[in-house]
Amino acid sequence: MRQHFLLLFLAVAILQSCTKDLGTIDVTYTKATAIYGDLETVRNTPLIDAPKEIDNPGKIFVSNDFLLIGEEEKGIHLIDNSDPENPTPIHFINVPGNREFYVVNNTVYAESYYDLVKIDLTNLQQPVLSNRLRNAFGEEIKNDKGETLIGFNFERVTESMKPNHPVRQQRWGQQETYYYDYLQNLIPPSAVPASFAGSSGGAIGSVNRIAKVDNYVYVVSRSKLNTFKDNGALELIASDDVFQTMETIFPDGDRLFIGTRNSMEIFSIENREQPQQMGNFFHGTACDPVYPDGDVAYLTLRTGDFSDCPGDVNALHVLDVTDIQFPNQIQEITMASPYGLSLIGDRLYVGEGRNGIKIFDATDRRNLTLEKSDESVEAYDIIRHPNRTDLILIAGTDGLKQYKVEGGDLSLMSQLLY
Amino acid sequence: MRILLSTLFALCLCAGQTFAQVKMPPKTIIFYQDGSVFLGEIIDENSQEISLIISTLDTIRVNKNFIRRIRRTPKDIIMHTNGKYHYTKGMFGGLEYGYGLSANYTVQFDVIAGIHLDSKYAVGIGTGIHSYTSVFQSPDNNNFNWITNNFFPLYAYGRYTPWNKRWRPYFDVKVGYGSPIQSWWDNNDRKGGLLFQPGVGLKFASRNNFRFKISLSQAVQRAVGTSFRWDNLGNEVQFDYRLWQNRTMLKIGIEFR
Repeated sequence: MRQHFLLLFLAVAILQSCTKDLGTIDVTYTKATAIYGDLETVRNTPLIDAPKEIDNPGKIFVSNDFLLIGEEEKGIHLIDNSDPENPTPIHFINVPGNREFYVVNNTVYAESYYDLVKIDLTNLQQPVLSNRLRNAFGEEIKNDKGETLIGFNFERVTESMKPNHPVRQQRWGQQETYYYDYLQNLIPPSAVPASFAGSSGGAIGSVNRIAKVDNYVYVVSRSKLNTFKDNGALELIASDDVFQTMETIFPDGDRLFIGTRNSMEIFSIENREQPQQMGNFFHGTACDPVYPDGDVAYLTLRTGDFSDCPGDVNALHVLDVTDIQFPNQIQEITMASPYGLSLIGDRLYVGEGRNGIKIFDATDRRNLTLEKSDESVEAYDIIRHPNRTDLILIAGTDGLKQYKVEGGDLSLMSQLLY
Repeated sequence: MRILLSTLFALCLCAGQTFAQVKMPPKTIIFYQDGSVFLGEIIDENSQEISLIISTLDTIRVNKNFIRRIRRTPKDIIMHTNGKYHYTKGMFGGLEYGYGLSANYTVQFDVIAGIHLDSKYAVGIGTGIHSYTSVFQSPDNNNFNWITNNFFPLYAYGRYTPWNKRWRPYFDVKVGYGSPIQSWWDNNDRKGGLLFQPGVGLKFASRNNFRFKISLSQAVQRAVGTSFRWDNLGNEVQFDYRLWQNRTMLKIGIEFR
């Protein structure tokens, strides 16, 4: 009998020791490797270069006579567009680290790593760096050699892990912290694959991260709303942690409309130096350019499996924003993959990416009706010309195209291919 | 954990040494209102009293006015001196709830139906819901990550009960297949696999048709699949796993008949 209990005891002891899983877990993820450099050298890069090929286009700005097309993390292509049928490159403006810029009255506000720079384009042949606010978005992060963190290389890697892996001490140490600090404070890569509209008087794009109202410049990073004062020289007024996933900012009178991945937030800027949150409209996780027009706002929600905007919502929402504290949805239109949008006259143009472009009759701003759908035009953002209502620019993955608008029909005038 | 195992072991030891089986299986149990229990075989019965032969082979007469309950037991039981018994024949059903003792979270809920083949062996089939969570450290965030797999198992059940004690130690085993339960809220791909779960336990005699039991077992469940999540910057992180989920389970249960 005692032998039986000895066996029982051994069985229990063996069971107790076998609590670990066996096998492997292959983890495929985006690995970040820090890039360090001499920031002063970067800052002293000559402003103007000869025209270059558009390789990795970013933001687009349309003015009366010229176009600006961002080259991701490198600078801005300056193009003479006085003849829309024959756009001609003038310069390449070096703005290292730049992804986002905003233009008001021939002045470009652009990020450059930690700095916010101001470029005067009054003389298109001779752009001038008129001001640089150093460390506008955060203090420099340096390594042991005194070099400054100026970015990350991202690569897709697969590592095989054992289950029950013991907890390791921070394998990347401080670098991992840098990864988050740096990218939370600075303007992150766009969640869209191609270009998006910049700004022009009365015709700003719907997916900016920089906006200017009077003498104040507002910049949203991933989690911060930064307020700058521009009295010739730039001055940081406030840097507030607001939300974690801010995507866009759009000024409308005394209001700022901020699109996050889960909501549209409305801030009052009656006091320009202290934006106050007034209301919001929550929606599912999505990339959501917002385009306010008077008492209504148009909001596109775009998601896709395994995209930067995961989820299952693709829609155009029409919101009543008469009461700023309680935005109210008055219409929802199912879309395929809505990106940017623009209201030109009584027509709302919505880019659907590879699914083309949809044109809505917006005579009644609160009740849109689909007028036309054209799947032959790849459209990620729709940019209205500041003065010509018969001309729109459409950004796709292969280039920027200018169309003449006749009724609801589009006819191609010219294209700048990437 | 060690205290628990030591306690369980001590219980097994006590069961083996303290509670002896009644040699002559009685046929009837009479519960008196004062708490007394009489075990024996009824040889005579009228409106006033019952005569029965008890284990000492003496004949006693019991006044029916003082009887609270009479249980005329079937033949196939193992009766113990306090009137508690185990069944050794017939069908049985059982419910089990188990909780994992390892760092990885595990929960099992089982329903088992079977038959007692004799006083030592029982077989059956079982099903239920098993949930396994594997915790590991992912290189993308250097932090804890977890993969959860829920299964709908279907298995054969066998039990060997070597000793006829009031607290009967037993060895059992479940062998079958765990089918994965896909989640509607994610795109994860899950595949099931072999389930093998040997164990040891104690089943407690009772005066009713149900018995409590407690056991320790080792659950080994194959799990293969792919799961996804998003890192803080919106990049996709993919986990392809091929695991033998290996968990020590503490289970409590109740068995009917």
